[in-house]
Amino acid sequence: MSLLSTHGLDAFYGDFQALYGVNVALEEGQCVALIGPNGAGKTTLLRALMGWVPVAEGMVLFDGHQIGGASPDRTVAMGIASVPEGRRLFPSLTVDENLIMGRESGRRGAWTLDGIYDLFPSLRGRRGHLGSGLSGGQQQMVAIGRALMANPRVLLVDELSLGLAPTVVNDIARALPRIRETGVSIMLVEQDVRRALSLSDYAYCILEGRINLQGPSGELEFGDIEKSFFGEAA
Amino acid sequence: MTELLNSIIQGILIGGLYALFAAGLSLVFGIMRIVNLAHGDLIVAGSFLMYSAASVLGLPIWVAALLVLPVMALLGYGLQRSLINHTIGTNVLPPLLVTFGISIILQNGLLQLFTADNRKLDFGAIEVMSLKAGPISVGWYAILVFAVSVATIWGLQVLSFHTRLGRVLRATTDDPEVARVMGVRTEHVFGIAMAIALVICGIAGVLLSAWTSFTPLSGPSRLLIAFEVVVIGGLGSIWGTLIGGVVLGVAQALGGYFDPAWQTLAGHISFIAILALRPQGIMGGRRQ
Amino acid sequence: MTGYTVRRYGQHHIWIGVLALLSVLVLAALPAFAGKAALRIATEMAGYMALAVMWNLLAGYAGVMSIGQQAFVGVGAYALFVLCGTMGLPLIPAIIAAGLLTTLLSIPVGLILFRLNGAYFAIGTWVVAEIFLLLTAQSQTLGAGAGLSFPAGVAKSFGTATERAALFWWIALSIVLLSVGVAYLWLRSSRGLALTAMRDDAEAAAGLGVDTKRNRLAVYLLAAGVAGMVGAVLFLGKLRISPAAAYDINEWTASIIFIVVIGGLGRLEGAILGTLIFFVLRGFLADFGAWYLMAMGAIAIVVMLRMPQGIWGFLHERTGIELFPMRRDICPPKGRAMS
Ligand SMILES: Nc1ncnc2c1ncn2[C@@H]1O[C@H](COP(=O)(O)OP(=O)(O)OP(=O)(O)O)[C@@H](O)[C@H]1O
Ligand SMILES: [Mg+2]
Repeated sequence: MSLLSTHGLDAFYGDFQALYGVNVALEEGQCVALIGPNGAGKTTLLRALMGWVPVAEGMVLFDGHQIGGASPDRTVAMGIASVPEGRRLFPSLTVDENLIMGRESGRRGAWTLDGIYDLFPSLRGRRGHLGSGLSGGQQQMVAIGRALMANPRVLLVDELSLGLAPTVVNDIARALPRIRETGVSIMLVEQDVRRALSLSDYAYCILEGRINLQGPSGELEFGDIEKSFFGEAA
Repeated sequence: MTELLNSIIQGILIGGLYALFAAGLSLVFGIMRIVNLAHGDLIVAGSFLMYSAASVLGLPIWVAALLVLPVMALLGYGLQRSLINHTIGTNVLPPLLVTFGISIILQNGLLQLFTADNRKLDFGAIEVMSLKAGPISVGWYAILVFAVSVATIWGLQVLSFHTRLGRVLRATTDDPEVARVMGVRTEHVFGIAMAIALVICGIAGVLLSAWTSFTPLSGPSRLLIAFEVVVIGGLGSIWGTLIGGVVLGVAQALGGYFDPAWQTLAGHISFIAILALRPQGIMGGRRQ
Repeated sequence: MTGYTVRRYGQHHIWIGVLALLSVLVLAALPAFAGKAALRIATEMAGYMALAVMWNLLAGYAGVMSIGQQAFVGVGAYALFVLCGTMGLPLIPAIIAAGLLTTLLSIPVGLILFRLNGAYFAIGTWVVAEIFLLLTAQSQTLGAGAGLSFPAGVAKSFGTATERAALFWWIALSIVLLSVGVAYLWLRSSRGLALTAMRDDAEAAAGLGVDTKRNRLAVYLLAAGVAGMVGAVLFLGKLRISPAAAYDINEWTASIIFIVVIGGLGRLEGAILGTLIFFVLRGFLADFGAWYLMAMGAIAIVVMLRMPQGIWGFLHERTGIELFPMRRDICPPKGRAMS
């Protein structure tokens, strides 16, 4: 049984339907990538998993329980933590305080402040700085650290590399295997297809709210993914 | 000349109280982006609770005062969870209209219970004792009020920056959606914030109950003072409210010194002047 | 894609138009069969309705929440007492002048207050009304706190008590028809579409190049002018004015908000229906004093939380009826069905 899965997931913003019968699954210990063009519904899918957009109960299964429609404060308490699109640090909180906010889920475990600073040493010197005063890469590190402070079983990461220089992304991407070693499963939204495939075990392509291509990351052809972007995939 | 000095000092001291009026309003606005139009009536409700406990039940002043605060906290939490939480969203009208409705109910409910008579509590000897330094004479009660006000604002500052609750409040102020994703139950935090705001209203109501007389209809003028202080001091700055309170208090004192009828008017006019010249407030500038 | 037309009116709207014309004629003829007392109430209703239509335009369409319209009601009323009562200007020009004066006054007020957004703007309008109240109460020429009586001689020059009641009614009727008419035409114009866009999403509207600030200011000026004229005619009927009554927030703003919320925010018909409901409720319950006001507050809260579209909105959703057609239907060319 998968750790986290969706079953015929439909999601709406008012009258607008953003997802149509989506089925995805994340196995324990896996890293799954979601790929798709702008507006495809990747963020919406992650939001449905964490309960930020309303969905029917049976459409999301976590560890054998139906959790669809549970609010984000409850899903994070169950162990689904998020790095939101655009990072969204709390601008008037310091780096330390931002990280500590991750503990509001009430989950305790291996990840502590020190663990985060060991994972991202460049943050250590910035502990007392405001979240709004950091570089984009550092903000992404804090956002990841903040989510890890919830000691999650699943980490949802939206747009890992958005707006960041490649070398900075490399630094951050190097942390992912170390995070996985601690037993965290990851679902990753990533626009850079090569990077998405290299980081993940399995990938889904989304177009206009539907999955139109999926497979183990090593076996997916780059050309097929390109076609899927334009809706030409078989 | 000394009379002028005396009234300026008086203005500074009441400015502390005005800052208390504003602190709760500003806290609630910061975190939920709503203006509670019943804020002034809730301060008056605090005064009437004090009046009921001290004059009607005959409890000692200190006991009565300490009793008012938890009642106000419960009232705040209850109002928030039962009514105001349902109005929070992108539209500014529902919270304004609902709190306006609460204001009307409070005013008329108090009127029904306590009639329109002027009330004032008597805290005893402290009200008439004064501190004299040469020609200047300052009432001890005014000094006490100022000290309690500053202490309350300082306490709010400590709460905000040195406690877990304060961190959660500031995070929710920054971004309620993400706070919820971090595990914060925002509807509960909103309730707590309103409870804190009403405890501050309660403190103000207790202090005010012996400062000047009040009626069930005194709420709106308190709300206007609170609002003017927030705008003068600048949104989102805790110490800014103290400065705003003192500016307004002194403006009123100066107006009243030249003509008693100009006391309130001078306050309003200083507000409009600051709005026209420095719309972000004296300490403001961070955000709208 | 040719042959599509935009249709603004449905078939039944013609009948509504005919009906509206008939009711206006009946209303204009009211003094022929209604007594003095009935005319007074009708006059008052017309005044409230005009205020409600304007408040609805402000809050429901332009997203401008003012709780200080009593400022303009009061200034308009005092202006009439001075211009017509003291200085001897003829009645109708004096009422128009009162409206112009409040419109002018609302320009600087609006320019300063529009620096505040949303809820803060609302309380700002209230502060301004307080300032006007306090200034009026300071002025000896305006009778200070006690206020003014309208000179009996001037009042008599308008005719007998019955003739006066009829005259004031016609004036009030003109004001409310003017308000409804202007609001309706405004909303149907391109500027009105901008207003509606503003209500639905001010940021998006700004993105589309709609000048939200100017539009809002324009509505604010219009509402101030109407409030001034309403204040003039309503206090003329009372023949007495005092600062507390002229700038009464409960009378000129709280009641109006109640009317609009009950009737239906953002719907022209709502303000009209709300006024009728308000006067019925007031007629039956006003004797209960504080309890009556508490009930009003409670009703407003419940409607806001449970039926935010108001009674008219509720009816409209169920039945689709509409007295003032706002929708524009896209009609396909004849012989082709819309898919
Ligand atoms: N809050 C919202 N209200 C209405 N529609 C929305 C909202 N958020 C997203 N949408 C719409 O839902 C669809 C899916 O959006 P989503 O943000 O999930 O896409 P995405 O794949 O994450 O795109 P991007 O790569 O740009 O982040 C889009 O058509 C978008 O316009
Ligand atoms: Mg996205």
